[in-house]
Amino acid sequence: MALLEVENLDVRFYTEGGVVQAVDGLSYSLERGERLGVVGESGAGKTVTALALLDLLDDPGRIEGGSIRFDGEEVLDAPPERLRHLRGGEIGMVFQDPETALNPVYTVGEQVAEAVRVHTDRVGEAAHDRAVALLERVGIPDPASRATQYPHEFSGGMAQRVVVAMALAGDPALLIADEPTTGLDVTIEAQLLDLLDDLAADDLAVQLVSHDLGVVAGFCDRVLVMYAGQAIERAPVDDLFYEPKHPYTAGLLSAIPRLGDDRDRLATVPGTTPDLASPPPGCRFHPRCPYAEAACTKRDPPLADSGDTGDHQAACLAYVDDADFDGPLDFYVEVDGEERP
Amino acid sequence: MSDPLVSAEGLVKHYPTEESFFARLLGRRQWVRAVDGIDLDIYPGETLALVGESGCGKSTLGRTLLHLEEPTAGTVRHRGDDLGALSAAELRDRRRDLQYVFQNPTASLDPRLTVGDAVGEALAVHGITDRDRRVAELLEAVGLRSSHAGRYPRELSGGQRQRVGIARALAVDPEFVVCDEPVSALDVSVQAGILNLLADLQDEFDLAYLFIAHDLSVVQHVADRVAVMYLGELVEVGPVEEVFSPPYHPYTWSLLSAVPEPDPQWERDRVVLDGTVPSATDPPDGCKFHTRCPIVQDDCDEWADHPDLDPVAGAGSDHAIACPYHDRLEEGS
Repeated sequence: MALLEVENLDVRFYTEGGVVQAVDGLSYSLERGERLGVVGESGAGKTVTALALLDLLDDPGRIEGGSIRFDGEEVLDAPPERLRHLRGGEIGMVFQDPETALNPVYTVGEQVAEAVRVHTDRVGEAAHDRAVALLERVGIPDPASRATQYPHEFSGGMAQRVVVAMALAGDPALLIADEPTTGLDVTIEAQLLDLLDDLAADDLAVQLVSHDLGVVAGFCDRVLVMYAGQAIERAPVDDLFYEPKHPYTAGLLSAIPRLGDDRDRLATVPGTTPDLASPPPGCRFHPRCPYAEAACTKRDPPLADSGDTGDHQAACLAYVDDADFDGPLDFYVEVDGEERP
Repeated sequence: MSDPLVSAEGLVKHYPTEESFFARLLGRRQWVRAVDGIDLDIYPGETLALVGESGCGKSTLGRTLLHLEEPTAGTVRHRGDDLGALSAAELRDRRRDLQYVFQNPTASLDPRLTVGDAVGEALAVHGITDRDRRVAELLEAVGLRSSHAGRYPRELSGGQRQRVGIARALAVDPEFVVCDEPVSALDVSVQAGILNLLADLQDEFDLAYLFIAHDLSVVQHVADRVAVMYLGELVEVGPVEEVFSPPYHPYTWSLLSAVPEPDPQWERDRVVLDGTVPSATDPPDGCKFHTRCPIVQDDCDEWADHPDLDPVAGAGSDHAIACPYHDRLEEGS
């Protein structure tokens, strides 16, 4: 049994501009100790998915269908008391902006100790000691005295480590990290990724939400690509980066500048992500897809096995047997000067 | 090489940490040494990238170069004229040649002005007539439609807003544009479009860019030359292919090795720098980088000042590194 199983998740936002289908029939699973990357552009539904896992969606957002099973237990049916225990306890969370995740008027040690008290049976001195140990675990030098300081005395990278320490308070089996390094310098980002790497080596499963394909390439085992609320490709990390099967993934990969490439112009993905209050008919990517055919405007392709290796699915009519799609998709991705078909 | 278009000499910009009368009276005021003695030349038609971690003074340098901030010391020359010696009216005229594109396209556009007004305002300030036709031309030059002129910023996507910011900077036909992290807030697919646009506009209008960025893969793609900045000073300057290959300044090397490459099999000698950039109010003695340097030597904290930028391949070379020990980097690794 997988640690986390998400099936047919539907999330809608009821706004004045109409009903926005932010997540549409999303299914994926995460094994113990596995690192899953969730990538996509802004508005693809990455963060909404992460929030939905813990029932943290605010009005006007609502989970309208599907199932989320954590360790075999249905999260969507869990009573509030149980949910509070899961949230931040068995499932730890790290969000993008550490300044908003920390309370400016309490010391850092007190905030980590509070998480320890809520999620374990440690109290008083024992909770404080555990908090200091957690701060040490996340690589904060001189943790005992740093614990007495306030968030404004921490740099962005150090504050993010504190947030990671809080997420570890309940000894979670799964860590959801939503853009944990966005906005940090590359040097500080490298330090934090080393820390996450170290934690994941201890059998912690990580769902890393990121728009940075470089971060995902270096950290994750498997990748889920989202577009307009849907999963459009799912594959082990090597397969995804070397042999992408969906035209959108291929477009994203060729739009990033890489160190050492000598292209004069970057490839672009023309157009913008669709308005999810009125998504285009058929495949949601067809208005931007260079390979789109008439059939693409009529039928929304499901995630289907894309051929060669077993564990690689893409949502494109090219991989649907009975589709009226002529193809072929003749893109390739150049990695490190080598062409790969 | 031709004469520089814009050139900075001994440029310094210090900010007080507190402005109050009491702080001044009690001598409690400290100074943030954001830009601390920089010499830099920018040539016509080139792209010079300025890189470094946040807080190293990149944006302050960009603003001071255009005299959007008055320098504390040093001079900026544009076509040989000292900008500090110009009257306010003369400086405003100069701004037709010197423009700025801001990082956050949402914050830098007035939400109550239509796109046409935002772009046209620059034309009015500089007394350029035939506004509507010019606005339409500019919007088309940056890949928007002339019908966008009637829209408000909130009706545009982030990438479209950044295009408006670029159109506004180009409205007065400048020759030098400071682009302060122009693509940092954008998704990769949108970023690629803006980078291509900047390159096309450079060819078309013969622009020189100072391209401030922290993403080194982007820098390698756009720049002709690169200047690496650390705590208000330059530690390495040179043509992009030389800065991005050995010999390196140890700081440049650390930055490059930290870039996350979108290649799962990427093997690297990664050096992870300890800690963060020290405070610019009280920078370390000697070489400012010695507290985090992977090849620090015994005497690095003893110099009277930060080491000078020394040409790498003898005099006359345009690749310079401010570290007398940089050759130990290759021996060690």
